[in-house]
This record gives sequence, C-alpha cells and structure tokens, in this order.
Amino acid sequence: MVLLSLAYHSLRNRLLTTALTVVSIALSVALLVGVEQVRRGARESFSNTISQTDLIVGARGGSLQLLLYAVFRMGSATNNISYESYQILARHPAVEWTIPYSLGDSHRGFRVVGTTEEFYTRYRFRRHRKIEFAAGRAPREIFEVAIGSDVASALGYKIGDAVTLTHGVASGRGILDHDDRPFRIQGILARTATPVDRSLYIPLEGMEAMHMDWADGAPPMPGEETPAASIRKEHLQIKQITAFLLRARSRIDTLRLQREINTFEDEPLMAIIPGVALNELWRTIGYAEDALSVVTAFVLVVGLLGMLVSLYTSLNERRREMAILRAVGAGPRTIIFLLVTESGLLALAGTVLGVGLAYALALTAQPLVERHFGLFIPLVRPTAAGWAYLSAVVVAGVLIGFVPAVKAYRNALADGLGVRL
Amino acid sequence: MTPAAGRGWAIEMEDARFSYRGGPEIVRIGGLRVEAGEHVFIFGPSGSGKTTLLGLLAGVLRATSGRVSILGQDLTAMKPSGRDAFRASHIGYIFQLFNLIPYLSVRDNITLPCRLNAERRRRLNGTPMEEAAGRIATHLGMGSLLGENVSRLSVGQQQRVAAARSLMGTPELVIADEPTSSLDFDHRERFVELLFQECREANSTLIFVSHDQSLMPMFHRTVSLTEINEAM
Amino acid sequence: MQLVLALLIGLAPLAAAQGKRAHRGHAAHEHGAAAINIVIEGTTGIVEFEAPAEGVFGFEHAARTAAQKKQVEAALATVRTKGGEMVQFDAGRGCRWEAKSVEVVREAGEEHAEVKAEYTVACAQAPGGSRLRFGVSRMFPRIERVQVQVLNGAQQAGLGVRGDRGTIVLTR
Repeated sequence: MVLLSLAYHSLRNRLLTTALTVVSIALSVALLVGVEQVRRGARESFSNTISQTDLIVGARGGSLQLLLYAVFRMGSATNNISYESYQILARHPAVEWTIPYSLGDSHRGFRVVGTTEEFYTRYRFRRHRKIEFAAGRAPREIFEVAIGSDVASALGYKIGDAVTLTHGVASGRGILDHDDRPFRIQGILARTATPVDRSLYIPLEGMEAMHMDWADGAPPMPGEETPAASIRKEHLQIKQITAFLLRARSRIDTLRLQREINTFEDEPLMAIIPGVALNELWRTIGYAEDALSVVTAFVLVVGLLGMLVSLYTSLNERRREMAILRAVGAGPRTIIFLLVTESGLLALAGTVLGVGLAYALALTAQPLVERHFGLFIPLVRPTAAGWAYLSAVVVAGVLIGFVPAVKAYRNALADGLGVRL
Repeated sequence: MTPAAGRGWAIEMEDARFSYRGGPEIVRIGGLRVEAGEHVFIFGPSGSGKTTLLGLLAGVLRATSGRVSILGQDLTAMKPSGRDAFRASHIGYIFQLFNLIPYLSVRDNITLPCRLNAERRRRLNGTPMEEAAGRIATHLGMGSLLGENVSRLSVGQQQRVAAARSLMGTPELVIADEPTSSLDFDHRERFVELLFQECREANSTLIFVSHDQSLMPMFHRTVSLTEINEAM
Repeated sequence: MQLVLALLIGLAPLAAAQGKRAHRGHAAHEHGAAAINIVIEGTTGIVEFEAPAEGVFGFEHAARTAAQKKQVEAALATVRTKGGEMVQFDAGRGCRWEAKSVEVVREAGEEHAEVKAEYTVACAQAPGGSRLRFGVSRMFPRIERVQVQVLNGAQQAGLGVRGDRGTIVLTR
C-alpha cells in the first residue's frame, strides 16, 4: 500500500511524461478496442444482411456465387430455374413462404429485381426488421417499380418518375435499353443498410413483360413489339426465375428440404443455408480482418515501448530518489516493486482510458457511421477474449516494468548511499 | 575496553577492510568503538574514505573482511536483505543535501521510515504516525510546514526535515553525512544543537561526519578518519 | 456495408471459379472428411452424421472376410451408441441420445460407400446458451475434418472442425 502510494505520487510528480505515456497507451488501446468493435459490427451487419430465410435456392452451381447474386446483388447466375419447379417447391407442405427473385436487368448500374408481394411482407433483415417505405407503396401493376434508398439518393429519383431499364447488368447507359416500356416509380424503400438499398424492385410480371416478344435473347424488330399499354397481367406467362428465398415451417424441415432440393429430379437445383454460407464467406474475407488486428497489435507494442523508454530515461534523474529510499531501508526488492508498480499503473490507466475513449468515440460516431457506411457498431461489453487482451496489456505493462526496475536495482547497488548530484 | 555500566556498544569495528572487487583497499580500520548514546564527530576530509565508511556502518556495503557490528549485531554476517531490514529498523540517515523525496509532502517524507518499516512503527508506542511526525517537526521549528511540498523549503528547512525523518521511530543510531555543509555558520550550530537535543530525547547514538572542524568542539568525542583509516 | 461489399467484389472471380465445380446432391465424398448437421428446436434436436465408409471402418468395398464383417459391425455399433461423444452438448443440459438409423449406403455403380446416421436428441433443458464440442476424430482417427452445420432457432451456423478443435456457441 505504501509503495502503491509512492508509485502514484512519483508518477504524479512527473505529470507531463506520465500523461503523455498514458495517452499513448490509451490511444493504442482505443484503436485495438475500436477495431474490434468495427470488426464485430461489420460481422454482425454481415450476418444480419438477411434473416429468417432458411434456404436460398438457385440453379446448381457454386454456393458462394448463389449467395453473392441472391443476397449481395453481385455477379450473376449461370442458369435460371423454371417457374414450374419453383411452384412445386413453393407449394411443398414443409414450406411456409417463398420470395422469388428474377435477376439480370439493371438501371444505371443498379440491379433490377423482379419479385412478388411476398418480398415486401416476408423479407427480414437484422433479425426482425422488415421492408418499409420511406415514400409511396409497393408496386402492384406491371410497369411499376419500387427503388432502394441508395438508388433514390444516388440518382435523385422521386415518386412518379419514369425509369428505363437496361438488359444485362452493364453499368452506365445500356446498349439494350427497354426504352419502349418505361417503369413508373411508386415506392421508395426506407434505408436498410443492406444490399436491398442498391436495387430496383419490379413485379415478376414486369420482368416478363419487358422481355415480351424477345427471341433468343434479342429484342423484337422495331414496330413488332406489343405496345406497353396493351400488356395485361393475364397475358403474361412467367417462365422462369433466377432464385428464391425459402422459409420452412420448422428448422427440422429445413434440412429435409435442403436435401430434397439438392436431389430435385426435374432440374439441377441447389439450396444453401444463408447463415452457413455467410459464415463461410466471412472466413474467406477474414484475412483482411486478421491483417488489421496484427497492425493494431503492433501499434499497441509501440505504445508499450514508449512507456518503457520514458520510464527508463527517467531513471537517471531518479538515482537520488532511489538512494534516499535505500537509506530509509528500502531493499532492492522494494525498488523493483516500486518501478514495476509504476509501469503497471501506467498501463492500467492507459487501458482504462483507452477503453473509455473507444466507447465514447463509438457512441458519438455510431449514428454517423451507420448513416454513411451502413455499418452498425454495437456498443457491447468486450468479449471474454476482449477482456483477455485488455488484461494482457496490463500484464505486459507490468512485465515491461521489470526492465527499468532491474536497471534501477543495479544503479542502487552501485550507488549505495553515495550519489552526489 | 568495555562500555560504561548499563550501556552496550553502538558500533564496533575490528580490522574492518573494504575494497571494491579487484580494486585497492579503501578502508582499513583496526578498531573503532562507539558507546550507545555517544555523540561522535568523525572528521573526514574528502578522499579519506568517508563515504565508504558510512556505507559500511549503514550496511549498504559489506566489509570484505573483519567485523562491523552495529548494536551488537554483526553486519558482515548478514545477507544484503537482512542489512536492508536492519538499517530500516535501527538506523536514521541524513544526507549532505537533497535528502527528501521531491514528490512527497513534508509530513509524508518524515513518516516514510515508519511507513516502510514495522519496527520503526512499533516504536512509536501507539502514537499515530502523523502525530509523532508533527511533534518532531514542531521541536525542530517546522510545525507549520507539515503540509508543504518539499520543493518550497529552503535548504536549512530541508535539512531539518531530514533530521526529523531520521529520528522518526527513535532509531538507536543516527548517521549524519555532512548535514550542515550547505548551511551558514549560525544555522549550523543551531542545527547541531537541535540534533543533539532530539538524539538525547530518543536515546540515540549520533555519528556526525564532516570535513568542517569548526563544529568539533560541540561534541563529546572526535575521531579523525585520516588517523584511523590505515588504508589511506 | 459498402465496406464489406468492396471486399466482396474481389471475390467475384473466386465465386465464378467455384461455380464451375460440379455440385452434387449429397455431401461430396471426400476421404478424411465427415459432415454433421444439427438442428435444435427448444429442447429437442436432430443430428445427422455422414462420412465416407473408409473413415469409419477403414475400407469401402463390401465386407468379405469374417474379420471385415466384424470390423464393420463394431464400427457401426460405435456410431450407433456414441453419437453423444461425437457431438457433445453441455453436460448440464441433460441431453439423451437415440440413434434413429445407422446405415451404410452404397449407390449403384459407385465404388464409394457412405455411413449415414441420424439421431434424435432430447434434453432436459434447452441447450441454447451453451457450447457444442466435437469428438469425431477421437472416435474415428481417419476422419480429420468435419463440416458442421447448425440450425438452432434463428441461428444458422457453419463450422469446419479440424481434429475436434472448435466449438459453436448456441444462441438462446
């Protein structure tokens, strides 16, 4: 207790150095904690991109590819699946609901998704959140469209605007515009901070109508197309979709359904469990994460080395102090203990301040980061591993203290009571 | 030679020699005895081995050969940690200058030996540390400065604080290493008188080392280091 | 999210490459590997175990000698009775295992054979909030890695377990 108070007073006496050391440790700890928070936030956001969907079904191919085009609107499907197969599975007794997606068209770089009413009622992300409208309503008629919030803000669209969709997913102005059949914006989706924001949503029938009279992937000759005004839903026969999301009645049904779909006889299909696939994908990109952690660890090492340097260089001016302590009866062990305690206190103060700093920063930056990056940083207590890292910082501080402590001990032995300054 | 009735030897040195490893002999003292309660002036000009002698007496250094006994205990037979503990329990030490821990208050500097050592605490006989410190400080005319930061004190005040600290918990032996060299003459005498008074009250033996012979007449006994140190 | 998306863009070629690989209806037959599916609903669960026969009893052809038959029988008996050691629920939850089926499946015209097992698990207390551990490789040293899939309420988790290292925390 005496030594603790001595260490405290000694540190306070060198207030500026102490403060600088503590701040440098605090900053590196804050960086460590902050990176961890962003990492968890990114991971959380990532695995909550889609919720309550048990299976994603597409044509047989790579599971990663299916995940990318169905959830992240990236890449494209090699094959479509027939509408009949979809309907057989959608009516399966173990299936609670399905959301069909028909992909392949775009609008100025944003993907167009043909889907049904189910998307607006059933789709969930971040556990329980559903699709909501910032303005307007869900499209009902063939040539109506709802747009994601990123689309709306990037292109400055409002309700009632007409948009022309492009065949294929090239960005910029498409070569094959469906300009004969424009879509009218009926709804703007509220921001979800998921890839949902980056798409336009039209009815499945709209997707079909756009490609009406097309043959072998080529548009009809001018003058041969059916005028948009005369197309009715009843005339349209939906032939194929790209993928669908599926919710099973129970989790136990999920596995059975997955097996059934993977061995579906009429057509080669594939069903993936989104959570599992997302997990796999996260591990693939996890290397970037690891690299970041390594950099943070180095910053922390630098912070601790800074402390070592400041303690070590202070020893020369403290030779007198050590001699006095020796004279009043402090043994070398006491002197070692004193310096180790000082170093431990610095590391502890730095760690506590750093954690506080990280949380304060997260608290203030949270809404900003969510708005600009769509990344929700959760304010959660450190994990068990987090606590272990933080304790390791303090322990490292204590261990580092032994370097100046041993030096001070050697000085004290050499000086005895005879330092003349 | 035996000590006066009822008293023991505070210091006994017999053929005590000291040299740093491989170096020349710095101290060789055939015999030096100080009775408990004596106030001895050791005249030690620079280069007489004064610092080494003090190191031996305080147990910071260990005699290479011979015997150094303090209060009847042979320091040469003790381990370094044992000597540290012995010094903490039984010896008060005053440096020439810069006696104080700069980041502690006057009060905390004075109580430091008691806080670091249980034996010195025990000898306060139940008086709270702060009260004992206050009493000594008052005797030394420092009563009003207890809460002060030591850096605000004059050199003379600092030396009195050092004296107060060395006397806390009434150690049997007080060693003062040129404590007055930074004071002007009037203050020197006054300081030595105060030191005597306190040592008498505590029944402490006082070893006062100085190269300044003007204070010699105030002491019962004077030893010249140049004479007894045969290594020089 | 854009941050993550930016990372994903770099993966598009990877996805395309993976797409070229044939994907089969059942878990790819890969020696040294096994697949485990775990579904938990409240206090009950279903566990499926699937591994190449080679990993379970050392060969895949039909047992010919009496010794081989014995070997197969012993291995299948282990699969039947030791499900709870291959997938370890928290001991405090009081989970009882029952093997519903254990079979060796050899598809016509294929050289490979799979061991498939299905278990039901009934726990005194829902295992949500506890940790799942694995002991497949300890049981069958030829099986080095296990692809685990867990469905537990809203939780969907996948984990590649190598040499029984790795755990899955079940959410409540």
